[in-house]
Amino acid sequence: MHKTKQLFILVILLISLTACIKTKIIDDIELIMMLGYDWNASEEKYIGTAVSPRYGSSEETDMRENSEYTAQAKTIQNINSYIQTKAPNPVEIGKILGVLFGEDLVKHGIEDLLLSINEDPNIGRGIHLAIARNSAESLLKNKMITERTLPRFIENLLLNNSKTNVPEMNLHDFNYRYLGQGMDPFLPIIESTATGIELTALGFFKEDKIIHEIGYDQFFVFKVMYEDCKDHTYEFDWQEQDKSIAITSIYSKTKKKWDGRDKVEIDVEITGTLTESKQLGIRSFKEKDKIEKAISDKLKEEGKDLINQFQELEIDPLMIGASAKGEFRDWNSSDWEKRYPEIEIIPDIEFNLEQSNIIQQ
Amino acid sequence: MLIRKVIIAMLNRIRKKAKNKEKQKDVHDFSQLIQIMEKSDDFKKISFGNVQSIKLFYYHSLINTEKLQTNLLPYCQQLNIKNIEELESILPFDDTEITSDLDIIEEKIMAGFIATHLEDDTTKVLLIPAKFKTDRDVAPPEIEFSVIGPKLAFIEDINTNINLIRKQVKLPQLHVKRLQVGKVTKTTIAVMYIDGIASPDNVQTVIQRISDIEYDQIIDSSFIGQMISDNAQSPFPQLMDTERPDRVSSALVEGKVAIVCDGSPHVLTGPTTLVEFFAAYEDYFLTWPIATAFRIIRIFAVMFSVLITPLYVAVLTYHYHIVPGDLLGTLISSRKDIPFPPILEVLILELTIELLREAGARLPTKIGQTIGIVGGIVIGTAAVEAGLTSNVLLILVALAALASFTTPIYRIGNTIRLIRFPFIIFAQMWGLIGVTIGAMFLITHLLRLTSLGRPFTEPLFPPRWKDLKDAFIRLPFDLQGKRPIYTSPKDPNRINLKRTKPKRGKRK
Amino acid sequence: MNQQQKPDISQMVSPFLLLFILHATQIGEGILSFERRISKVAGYDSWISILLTGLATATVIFLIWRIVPENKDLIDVHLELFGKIIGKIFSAVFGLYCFAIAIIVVRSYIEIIQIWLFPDLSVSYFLIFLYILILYMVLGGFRIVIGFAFFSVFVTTFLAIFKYAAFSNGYIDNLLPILNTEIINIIKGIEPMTFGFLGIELILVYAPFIHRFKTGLKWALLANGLTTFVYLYSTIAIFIYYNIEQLQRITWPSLQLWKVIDFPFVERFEFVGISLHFIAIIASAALYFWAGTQCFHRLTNISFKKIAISFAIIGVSSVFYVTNFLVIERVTTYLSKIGVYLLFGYIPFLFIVWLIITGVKKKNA
Repeated sequence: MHKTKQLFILVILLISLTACIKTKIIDDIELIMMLGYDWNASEEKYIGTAVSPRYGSSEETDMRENSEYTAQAKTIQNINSYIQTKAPNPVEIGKILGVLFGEDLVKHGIEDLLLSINEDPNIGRGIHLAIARNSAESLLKNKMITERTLPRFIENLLLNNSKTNVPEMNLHDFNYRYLGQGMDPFLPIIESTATGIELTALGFFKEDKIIHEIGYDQFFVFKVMYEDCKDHTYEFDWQEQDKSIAITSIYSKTKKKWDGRDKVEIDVEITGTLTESKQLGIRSFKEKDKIEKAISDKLKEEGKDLINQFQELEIDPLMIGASAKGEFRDWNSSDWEKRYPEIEIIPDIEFNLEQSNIIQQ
Repeated sequence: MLIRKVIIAMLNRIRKKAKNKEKQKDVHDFSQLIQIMEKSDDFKKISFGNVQSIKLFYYHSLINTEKLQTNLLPYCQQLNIKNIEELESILPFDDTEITSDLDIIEEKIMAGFIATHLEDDTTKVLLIPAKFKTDRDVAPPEIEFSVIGPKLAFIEDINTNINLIRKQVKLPQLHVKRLQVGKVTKTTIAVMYIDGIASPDNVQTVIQRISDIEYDQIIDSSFIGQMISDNAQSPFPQLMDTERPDRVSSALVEGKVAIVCDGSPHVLTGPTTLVEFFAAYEDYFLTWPIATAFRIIRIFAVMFSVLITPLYVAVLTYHYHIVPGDLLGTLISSRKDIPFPPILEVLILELTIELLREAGARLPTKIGQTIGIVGGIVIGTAAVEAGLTSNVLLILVALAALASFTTPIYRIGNTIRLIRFPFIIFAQMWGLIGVTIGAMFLITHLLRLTSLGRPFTEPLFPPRWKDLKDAFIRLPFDLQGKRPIYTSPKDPNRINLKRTKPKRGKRK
Repeated sequence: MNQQQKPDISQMVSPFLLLFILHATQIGEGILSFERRISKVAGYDSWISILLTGLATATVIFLIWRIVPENKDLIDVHLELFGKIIGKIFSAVFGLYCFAIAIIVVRSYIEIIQIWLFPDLSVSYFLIFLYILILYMVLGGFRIVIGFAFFSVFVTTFLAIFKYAAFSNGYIDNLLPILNTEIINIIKGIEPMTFGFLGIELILVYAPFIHRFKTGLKWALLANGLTTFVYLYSTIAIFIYYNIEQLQRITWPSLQLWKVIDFPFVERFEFVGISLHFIAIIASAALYFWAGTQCFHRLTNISFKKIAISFAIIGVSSVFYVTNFLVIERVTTYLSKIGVYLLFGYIPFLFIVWLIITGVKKKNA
C-alpha cells in the first residue's frame, strides 16, 4: 500500500513540474493562412506577406476580414519573426493553405525559398503554390469581397482549377519535378483584376526560374498530354464548316510509347461529347469520323506546337525524360539534356465522340 | 517510517483477532446467551406453566407473530409433553432443529427462529422457523433494463435470488455452497456453479477467497467484489455484477461461478473479461447482425467518451495543424470569448456534468429529473452565454456523457467516467503524444489485470480467436457451439454441432 | 543454475505469438527512415536488398532454432559452449547491447517528437514517464510485454495502410528499369536494411518463455516474412511517391508522406501518425529492456525488479550523455553495425561452435 502512495506522490509531483511546453491554443495564435513572397532586387531581400483571417467571436460575424502583414528579410524564418513585431498573437504558419510567388521572384529564382519552406516541419506538403502576376503582396492585399476569406478563396480557386483546367501542382509535386531528373515544374499564374482574382496562365520553370507561359487556350492540350483527366472543355474552331463548336471531354488517357531512343509518341485518347454543336447534327458514321478526325488533327497540331516550344526552351514539363529513364537502362541526366531538343516527340491525340446529346438535331 | 506504521497496524490486527476469539468463549451456556440477548428490548421470553414448563425465546422484531399465535401456541398448551423431541414431532413446521450448539442457536435466533426448551433440560434447544418476511416483491430490472426479454430482477433476499436462478437452470448439478462472512453482520454468501461445467479451479478460488475475507460487515455483494478481486487498486471491476437472473443463469451455463450475497440485489459472476462489460444481455434477444451492430456502437461510444475531451484539449492546445480548414473557423469563433485555456474549460464542464450526474443519482427520482433539465438546459446554455465554455465543447462533453451511459453494466460506466481525467491531464502535458502515453498506461494496466487469475483482456490478448465469436460481434447461436475458453470449462461443448446442423438443414 | 529463474507457466506464451513478438520488435523507428538509407546505397533497386535481407534473416532464425534447445536460453547456450567465465561475459555483453538498443530507440524517437511536435520538450521528465511506463510493463512479466507488443502490431499495420496515398499520387515509372543498379550495391544494401530486421536476436533470450519452442519456427519465419512484406510495401510506396533525388533530402520520408493525407476530420496525418507510431516504439523498447533485464537477472541472481529499476534510472539519465542529434545518429549507426555483426557474424559463429561441440560429444559418446 505505501508503495502505491509513494508512486502517487511521485506522479503528482511530475505532473506539476512538466507543464512547461509552449502552448499554441487555437484562438490565441495568429494563424497565417497564406504567404506571399516577392523579391526586392535593390536590397536583395525577400518581401514576405502573410494573411491571417480575423475570426469573429461567433458564427454570425462574417469572416471576410483579413489582417495582412508584410516584412522584408533575407530568410523565411526571419520574415516570420519580423511579422511577429506587427502581430498581436504568436505567429503560426502551420496551417497555411498556399504560397504565392511574385513575378519578380520567379524570374529571380525560387530555390532558396523553396528549400527553406521544405525545411519547416510545420508546413504541410499538400499546400498550393502559384505565381502572382506583378507582386504577391498586392494580390494578397486585394480587398475583394469573397464568400470566404481571401486565402480560402485562392485555395479553392487553385484546387478546383487543378481538377478541370490545369494539372495539380502542390508543394510535393513541385519538389518532385524540381529536384527530379528529366522533368521540370510549372505553376499556375493568378492575377488580380478589376473584378476579382483569376487564374490566367500557366508558367513553366527551367531550374528555379520562370521561362515560359501558356494561356488559357493551351490549357486543354497541355493537360491531356500531361495526365489522364476528366471533365474539361475544349473549344474547336472548325474552319471547314465555319463554326466554333465546343466539346466536353468525359475522360482522356495518355501514354508514352517509345519507338527507339530518339522517338516517342504521346498517345492520348480523349472520349468526349459535343455539347455546343451549333446545329451540327451527326447522323452517320461518316459524319462522326469526319468530325473526330478534324478535332484530332487540330489537337495534334496544337500539341506539336506546344512540344516544339518546350523543346526549344529545353524544358520538360511533360516528364518525357523521366519516362525515358524508366525505359532505357543507360539513361543519364547530362546526356539526356543534350539530346532532348532533337528528340522526335509526336503527339498522337485521338478524339472519340461517344456520348449523344439531350437535343436532337 | 511507513514500514513501521504498517507493521504496527498488522500487529494490532493480530491482537484484535485474538481478542475476538476470547469473547466468543465468554458464552458458556444457553442461559448466558439469553442474558446477553435480554438486554435488547425487542427480545421476548414466554413460558407456559405445564407439567414440563416450555420456554420460548425470540426477537419480537424478527419473527412473524401471526405464525406464533396460530401455529405454535396451541400446541405448546398441550399437557403431556415430556421431552423436546415430542414437541418437535407435533409441531407443523418443517425446518425445525434440535441442537445444543450455542453458535447455531445464536445464529438461528438472529435469523428469525424461535428457540424453545423445556424447563428441566436447558441443553437441548428446539429451533422453530418463524421468519418475518419483509422483502419486497420481485420487480423488473431498473439498471439493466431490456426492452425485450424477461423482466425479472434480483431482490435483497438470498433464497428468492437462488430460486430465480434455479428456476432457469433446472439441473441437479447446479450446486450452491453457503458460506458466512462478516464478523458482525454474519452475511450468508452462496457460491453457485454447475458441477461438471464450471472449472473446479475457479470454484476453489472463489470459495477460498470468500472464506478468507476478514471484515466486520458485508452489506452488499459489491463488498465481496472488491475484496476478492485480483487487483483491488484498479478502477476496473474484475467481476461482473448484474441484477438479471437470466444473465447469471447464462453465465453459469458458460461455466462461470456466481456469488449471491444475502441482502444484495446484485449477483457477481466470474471470471469475466473486459469485452463482456460492453455486452448487454439484450444482445442475445436480438438477431445477431443487429446485436453485433449495437455492440460495436457501444464500443465506439466508450472510446469516444474516453477520448473526445482529451483530444479536444490536445488539439486545441498544441496541434492546430490537424484541424481541417472548414472546422477551424467554427472552433476559433466558438472559443474567441472564452477566458480559459482548453484544459480548464474542459475540466469545468466535465466536473459540471459529473456534478449533475451525482446530484441526479442522489436526489429522489422526481427532483432528479428536474435537476437534469435545470442542469442540461439552464446551466449549459448559461455557461455558453456567459462565455465560460464554448458551444463545441458543450456538445462534445454532452455526447461523451451520453456515450458513457451506453454501457450496460453501471459499474464500468463509472470507470469510464473516471479514466477520462488522467487522459485529459496527459493531453495537457504532451498533446497527442500524451494521449498515446495515457492509452499505453491503460493498455498495460488492462493487460496486468486478471479476473480470478484469468487474463482480463481475453480474447484479445492472449488471442483466442474462438472466443471472439461472442466478443465484439455476436455470432448466431448455431456457431456458438463451444463454451468460452477463459472460463476453462470442464465440458467445453455447449451442444453437439454434428447433431444440431442436420436438424437445421431439415427445416429448410 | 537456479531453477527459480526459469519462467513459470503463467508467464509462458503460445508459439503462435512469435508472429507478433518478432514483428513488433523488428518494426520500430527504422520504418520511418530506412528507405532513405537503403536507397543511398542501392538506389531504386534497393527493394531487392529488402528481399535478400529477409532471406538472410530467415536463415539466421533457422540457425537460432538449431542452437537453442527446448527450455534453454542464450545464457545456457553460452555456458555450455564457452564455459562459465567467458560464457557469462558474452551474456553480459549481450544484455548491455539490449539495454543500449532500448535506450537509443526511445531517445531517437524523442528526437522526432522534438522536431515535429514540441521543440521545447523537457526530455528528462518525458523520459521519467516513459521509463515508469516501461517498468510498469516489464515488471508485469513477459506476458504483459508481449501483450503490448501484440497490440502494437495492429497499430503499425493500421499506419501502414495510410501509405496508400503514395499509390494514388505516385509514378510507377520510378521503379523502372528493374536491376539497373549494380548487384554489388544491392548486396551492400543489406547492411543498412538489417537495422530494420533487428529483434531476431531476442529470441535467444525469450525462447524458454515459449510453449513448445521448437514448433514456433514456422511462426518466427512467418513473422520475418511479414516484416519483409511490410518493408517492401513501404519501400515501393515511398519509391513511387518520391524520386531518388528528393528522397535523399528527406530524413523521414514516411512522415513527409503523411503530411499530404487529409480527411474531413483530420488534416496533416503526420501528427496522428507520430503519436500512434510511438506505441510501436515503446513496444519494441520494452521488449529489448525486458530482454536485457532478463539476461542480467539470469546471470547475477539479483531480483528482476532491482535490475529493471536500476537500468530504468540509467535510461532516464541517458538525457545527460545522449545530448544531441549527432550523438543519436552516431550511436544508432554503431548499434546497427553491431546488430549486423550479431546477426550475420555471431549467430553463425555460435552455430559452428555448437556443431563442433555436439560433434565432439557424439564422438565421445
